[in-house]
Amino acid sequence: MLGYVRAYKPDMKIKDYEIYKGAYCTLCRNLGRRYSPIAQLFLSYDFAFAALLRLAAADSCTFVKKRCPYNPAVRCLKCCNSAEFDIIADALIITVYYKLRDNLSDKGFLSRLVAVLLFPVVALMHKKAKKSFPEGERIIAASVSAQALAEKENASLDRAADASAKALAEIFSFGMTGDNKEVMKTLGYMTGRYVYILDAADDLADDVKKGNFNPFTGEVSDFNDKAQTAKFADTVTVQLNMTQAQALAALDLYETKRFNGILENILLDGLEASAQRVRDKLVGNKDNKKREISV
Amino acid sequence: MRNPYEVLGVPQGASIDQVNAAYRELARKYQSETYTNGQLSGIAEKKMQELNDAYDAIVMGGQTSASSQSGSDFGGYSRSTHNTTSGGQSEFSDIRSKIKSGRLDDAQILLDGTPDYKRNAEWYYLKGTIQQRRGWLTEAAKNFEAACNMDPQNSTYRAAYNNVNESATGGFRTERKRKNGDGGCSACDVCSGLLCADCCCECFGGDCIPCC
Repeated sequence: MLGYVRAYKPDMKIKDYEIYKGAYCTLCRNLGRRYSPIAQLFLSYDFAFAALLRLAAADSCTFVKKRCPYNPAVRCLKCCNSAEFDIIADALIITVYYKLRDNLSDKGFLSRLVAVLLFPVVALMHKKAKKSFPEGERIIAASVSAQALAEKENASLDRAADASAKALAEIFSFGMTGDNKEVMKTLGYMTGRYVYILDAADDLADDVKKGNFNPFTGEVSDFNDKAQTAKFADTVTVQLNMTQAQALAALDLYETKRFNGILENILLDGLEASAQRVRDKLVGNKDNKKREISV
Repeated sequence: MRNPYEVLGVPQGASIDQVNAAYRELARKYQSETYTNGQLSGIAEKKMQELNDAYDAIVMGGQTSASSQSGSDFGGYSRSTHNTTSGGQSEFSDIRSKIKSGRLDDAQILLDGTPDYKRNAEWYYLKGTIQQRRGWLTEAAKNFEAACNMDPQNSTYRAAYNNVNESATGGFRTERKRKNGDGGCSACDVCSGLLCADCCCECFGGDCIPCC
């Protein structure tokens, strides 16, 4: 996941925001404690969402206030259910490992340099993650090879999105039982699909230039042609809306014990805000950059 | 059975207004068209049943209400399931039963093995159904569209196509935000309130709105 699944702050209650940030901080601490400070570099809000989503159905959930090692003046919430965060942290490391391994064969000089420098460290951490969450390793490795195969065969959008969506479905529903397992499978699938489509739309210009695979290749021939990019943005929006509706419907069936507000904020407004950012970038809409807020 | 107040998400001993509001809200969620044909339709139906039972338990003091015996499920809220054509007449009854029991891969293999000249509207409809179950929304929409074009009179195919495309405009977001917003009372709320009141009347033998 790449920073698309995050909360929409303006519509969030302050107590919800503190918990959301608390989940992020707990994940950060977990990475620092179980892996290394380098692992904390890869931290993202998407994984905080995954942790909160799974915690929502947990039997108990307590937070304590702790000082942040990087900013001792601030006291932030730390969640005591470390088992859930262990799983998410392991999944994060495994994902980063495969992403870096992919970057090693990248055409860009800079990204390859970064990958070469970080790879040995990440490979060590990956060894540990593999041991502590073997199912996660199996799920993500299978998804990476399915993705490579789909790209090689120039798959359609549905099939190209299938690999990463399925991986997320498996990770989200890991260890769940009964109806919640089915619900989380759909929720994970649709979230993964949403992120894939959005990322593909976001990277289209880059991928066309570099000759990489992208399911939308051929949709836009000239990125300076506003009419063309606007039409493409509309196509993408239709796909995203259909996927988001399914994800939200799945969330309605999820039997939670807490965090309803946060989860709905992320899946409803958060995803929409990310889609809007990508849309603005596509159609070259600079006005929104000014961040003017009219009330 | 779970505590009915817990099912409705209201505190123990909540007023009838609170119970009604919670029931309406949850019924709207569980009966969303988004679930139709999808992977979660069974769970949504189960939850709706649980909700109806819990509502009955609270309102009727635990006795089985007339509404669920007659199967009318509180008037306005009975789900209109798009009934699939019966297996007997269908050429693809085998595939239909496989889809029903969740064996999507087997159904897909059988379907793909059908020779081109046999691929009628129903074939495209079934193909779309499998894809929708898998979450392949784009191709599901295309196949439902093909089924509609080949057999424009069939309401099942049309409903399936509309279901997939309904959310494409993003209207669901406005609806949810209105719900989360300042709690104002729109024209829709007035009507649904009246319908609910009528349902309650019907339980006790009266009927204010004869047409429903």
